[in-house]
Amino acid sequence: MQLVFYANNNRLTAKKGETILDSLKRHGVKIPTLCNLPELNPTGACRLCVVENDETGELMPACSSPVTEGLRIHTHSPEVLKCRQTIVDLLLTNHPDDCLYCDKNRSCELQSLAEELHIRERLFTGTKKKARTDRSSQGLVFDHSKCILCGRCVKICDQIVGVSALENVFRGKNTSVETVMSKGLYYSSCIQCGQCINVCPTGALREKSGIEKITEKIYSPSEKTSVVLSAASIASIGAVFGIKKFDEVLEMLVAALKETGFSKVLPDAFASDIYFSQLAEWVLQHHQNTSKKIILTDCPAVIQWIRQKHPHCVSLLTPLRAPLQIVARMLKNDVAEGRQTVVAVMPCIARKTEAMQVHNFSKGLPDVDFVVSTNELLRLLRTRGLYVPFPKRSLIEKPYNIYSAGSMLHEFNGGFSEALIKNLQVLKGKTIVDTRLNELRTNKNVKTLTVPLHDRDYNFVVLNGMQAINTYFETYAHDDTTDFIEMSACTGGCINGSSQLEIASPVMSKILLDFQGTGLLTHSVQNAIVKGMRMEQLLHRLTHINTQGDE
Amino acid sequence: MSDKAPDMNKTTVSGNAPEASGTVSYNHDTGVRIFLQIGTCSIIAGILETAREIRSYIQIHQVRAEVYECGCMGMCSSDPVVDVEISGRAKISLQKLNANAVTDIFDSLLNHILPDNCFILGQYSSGYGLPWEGVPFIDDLPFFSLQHRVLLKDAGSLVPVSLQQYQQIGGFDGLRKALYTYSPAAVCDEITQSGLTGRGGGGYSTGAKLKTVLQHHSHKKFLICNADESDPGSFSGRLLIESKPFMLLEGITIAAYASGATEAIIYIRNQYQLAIERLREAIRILYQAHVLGDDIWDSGMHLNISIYESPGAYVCGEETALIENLEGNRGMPRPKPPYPATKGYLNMPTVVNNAETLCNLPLILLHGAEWFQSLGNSFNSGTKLFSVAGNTRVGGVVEVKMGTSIQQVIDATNESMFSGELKAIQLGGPSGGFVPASQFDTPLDYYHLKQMNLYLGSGSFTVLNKNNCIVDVCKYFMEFIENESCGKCIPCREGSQRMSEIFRRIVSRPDDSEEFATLLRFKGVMQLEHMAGVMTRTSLCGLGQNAPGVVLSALKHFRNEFEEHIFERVCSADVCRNLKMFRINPENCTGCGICAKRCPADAIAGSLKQVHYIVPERCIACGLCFDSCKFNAIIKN
Repeated sequence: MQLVFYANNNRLTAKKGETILDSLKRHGVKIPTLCNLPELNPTGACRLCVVENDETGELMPACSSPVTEGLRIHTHSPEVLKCRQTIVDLLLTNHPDDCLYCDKNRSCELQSLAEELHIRERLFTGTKKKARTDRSSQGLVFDHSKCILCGRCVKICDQIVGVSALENVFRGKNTSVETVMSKGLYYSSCIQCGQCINVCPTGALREKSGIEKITEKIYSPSEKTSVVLSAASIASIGAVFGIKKFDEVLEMLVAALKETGFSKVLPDAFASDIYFSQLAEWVLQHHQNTSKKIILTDCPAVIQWIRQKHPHCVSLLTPLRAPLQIVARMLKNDVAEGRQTVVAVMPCIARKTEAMQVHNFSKGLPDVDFVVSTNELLRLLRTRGLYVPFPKRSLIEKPYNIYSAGSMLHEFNGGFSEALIKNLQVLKGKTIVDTRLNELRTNKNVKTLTVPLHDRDYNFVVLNGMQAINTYFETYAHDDTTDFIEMSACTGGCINGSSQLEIASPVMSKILLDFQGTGLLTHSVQNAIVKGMRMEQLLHRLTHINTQGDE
Repeated sequence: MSDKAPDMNKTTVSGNAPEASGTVSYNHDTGVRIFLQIGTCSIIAGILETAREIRSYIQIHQVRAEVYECGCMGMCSSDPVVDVEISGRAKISLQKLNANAVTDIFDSLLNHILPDNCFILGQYSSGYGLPWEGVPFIDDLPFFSLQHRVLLKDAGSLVPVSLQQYQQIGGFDGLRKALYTYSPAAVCDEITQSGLTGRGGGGYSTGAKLKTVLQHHSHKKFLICNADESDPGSFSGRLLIESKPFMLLEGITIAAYASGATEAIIYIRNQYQLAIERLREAIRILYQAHVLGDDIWDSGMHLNISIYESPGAYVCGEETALIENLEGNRGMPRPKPPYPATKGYLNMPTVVNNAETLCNLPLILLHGAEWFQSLGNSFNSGTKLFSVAGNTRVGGVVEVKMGTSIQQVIDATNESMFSGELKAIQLGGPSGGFVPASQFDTPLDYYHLKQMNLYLGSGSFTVLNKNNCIVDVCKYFMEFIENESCGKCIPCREGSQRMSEIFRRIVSRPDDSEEFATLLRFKGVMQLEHMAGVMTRTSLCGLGQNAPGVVLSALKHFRNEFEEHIFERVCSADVCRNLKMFRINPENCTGCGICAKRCPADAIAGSLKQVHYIVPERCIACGLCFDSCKFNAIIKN
């Protein structure tokens, strides 16, 4: 049923039950808000979305008021603007005046709102919140003084991620967002998924930066520094700067990063091939012995979540190390190169925690020394005076320059299953193009698929995002018919990681999916280099988790 | 309905048919009866010690006496109050009876001699026994004669947890009438017709609210009694529950019948332990008497009542925050709509009503809607309880008809002692506002107060005289909001902080060294009205929307006091200590050194027999030196 209402004297239509905010958004009217998150219940906390009801003159929050038939509102009347300005002014009064020093400078929602509302005078003065920064976590920094208590992080952590690491505590002027007993994120149930960073409107929650240390290492004469680029980060940069070919973005980045001073620049796609072919072989072996369920994921956030909430499921995880870790250990074991520092550019902050886990250590030192985000990579280039798009191109070194189209599946939700099915088919010698596999590339929250593999039909369940994972584990935890469960913390997979430049951009997926593979190499197991490595003793050490770390 | 005729014997605990409703009956011929008026306020005043003393007196002197633990009649400033009835004499009420005085007073009373006048409150004119000479009748005291007690009738003489006594004054007759002669919709209509509105501050029609829930189809409905009375200065609900718990439970049962709710929750703050204790006992008795539980009185109605002890946050008095808290979440208001009547506790239709509102229901059902309407004026019907406190002679709970003038409440409690000096009353606590003395003829009802932009809140009634500083009272309430805001919406959380800061700046010590601070002070005051407006219009819940009302009404009626604080830097009420400055007049100072000795902050310098000097930076403006100087050498301001 269509409802008719009038906004600023324009006749508009709305669906029944739709809020004023959603409906206006559909019609292209922008209403500012700091607390609203699409698809979650409105909290009505920021009060910036107020609109004026023409008949009663009252101000109503657009985010939580449903459209009623014949409603007449004004969205930007002088009264509304005055109230919005005052509210933003009140926020600024209690906000540190250090925009120029802030990580979120020029990308901060509060800042742009103040600019939009044309706030040019400080109406109020008063005491500000005490500066307090929680640096305990490996991937996150929580600067309490910049928190405007919009409640987005609390809501997403509770309702989407389902770990409730953050909660509002205390009342009145002492209200703040805290972890359990205010002990810090490291001691909380945080799984480092980074969803809160994505939704934080200010610089309160941000990723931990390690750029200064990296710059020092680059200039150290005794050590060489290599950088590993994840396919998702490469795609993200390509999408933002309009370069549509994966290889082209990569070659540009190689040139730019070499210019910065890195001795080796390589993608992790090569290691994804190793990972997938090892996965296929492990599954072949594994399923001869047992019919246990297998959880297909290398997402550190999900693994941490399983450890915390469903420890009995830890045994269902594959014993493989993530591709980044495989390539990093390869670099570290390259005796000819001597000691080297490995920097990784990753789409999310969970990899920062992963790098610090003992099974990713060799001889007592981490395989990956620094993990930076896509955003930080650009910042690193900027500080060196280099800008993307960079004019030069350079080739990637051997043997890391050969990777299949299948390796790109690592960055997608559903990709692990797709890669596994295809690789198993190749290993068994029958390559059938199965249209049913298209199901795995959809945007659904839960995707299910039954595929005949070597001996029988196998059931796949693909869980897309933490919300789907939570629901599945609550309701179908004892479902024994499933053989493979694939999970990723971010909806859509690593490509939509928390530290990406853009999220849910179709261009980004296109860059990765259009990639044909080096020399039209389609499947991971067909990669000749990987085939060659299969017999090596070293391979097991590279790819398999040893809880004690590598000797 | 006719086949389910009311069965009197079944419904009473003892099996005795209740006597003619109206009075509690005792056997008036034997011995001494002592009625202890026990309420939270009298416990604080020491009635438990007094009671212990009385019991040991009875034991030692072998007096044939019965001691009853009654409710409190609401004259809190006279606590502890003990009523004594000696056979053959009228019941006499003793006030401020502390444990030390018990022996003397009972020695004289039992010998039919009146004790010291200051202990006598009055005597009851119930008709039994010989009246005491020279003792005023309770009903003639202005505190009682100017009230119209309906809800609080018999509050001091009933034993709160005695079902039998409650039934003797007509208790559960209203429920019986509702269950057997009315349909739920008819009960709603009767309540709507009576004109009863929510007593918690909103002033929404109770009947309409119950009907909304009744008409909503759902497999489960809830009724929540909001007894989370957290306004500073309001205590009427507590007294009502402590003195007449059965009345609340009867009201809840009627409301549940009218709305179709099968589960009722009493949300009461955990500090009200006595009220909780009595409610628990009353609920236990009612389950035994088959007035609660499954198939009440064979009428087919089910109701379970449970008690939830609230953590006692101010914002949890707001209905959606209350529901959030009941669900186990942090008590923060939800955006409305959806209203609780359609989607409340556990997403089920929920009635949330104030305790005082629910207590009115048995009376409406018993005496009819017309009777209830006759109690008020043309705008509102019924009576309203006010918690009178502040600079009055008598403090306590006053019940008056809707539309009674403010002056009458003041007359009842002030007994014409200071009325000439009164400055204003503060109505409704942090969400209310001020009424200046010139407008004391305003009728107390929702309509007239709304005209003045005032909300009754939960009925706190604080009397302010010339010793109270309006700026200081505003500062107190704003700081209360600053600390009690849930912190969810920006206008309330940040606005209350900035407004408190402005008030703190107004009353801060004049400091010429910091010119910037003076500038900020002026700027702040200029923004006060603007900010109050934005806060009122944009806050999420009633707490934030009504909070600036105190400031706005103060600015409207007492602008001169603000100007005096800001421009002249003085507080004529002598309350804002930081505005006071003391210095020593060298001509009068003899150097006796008494002031220096008394000064708690070591702010007075000078050797003996030399002129002394007050160091302004150290002075805390306590005024001890001013009081102690015998030579008028210390000058204020």
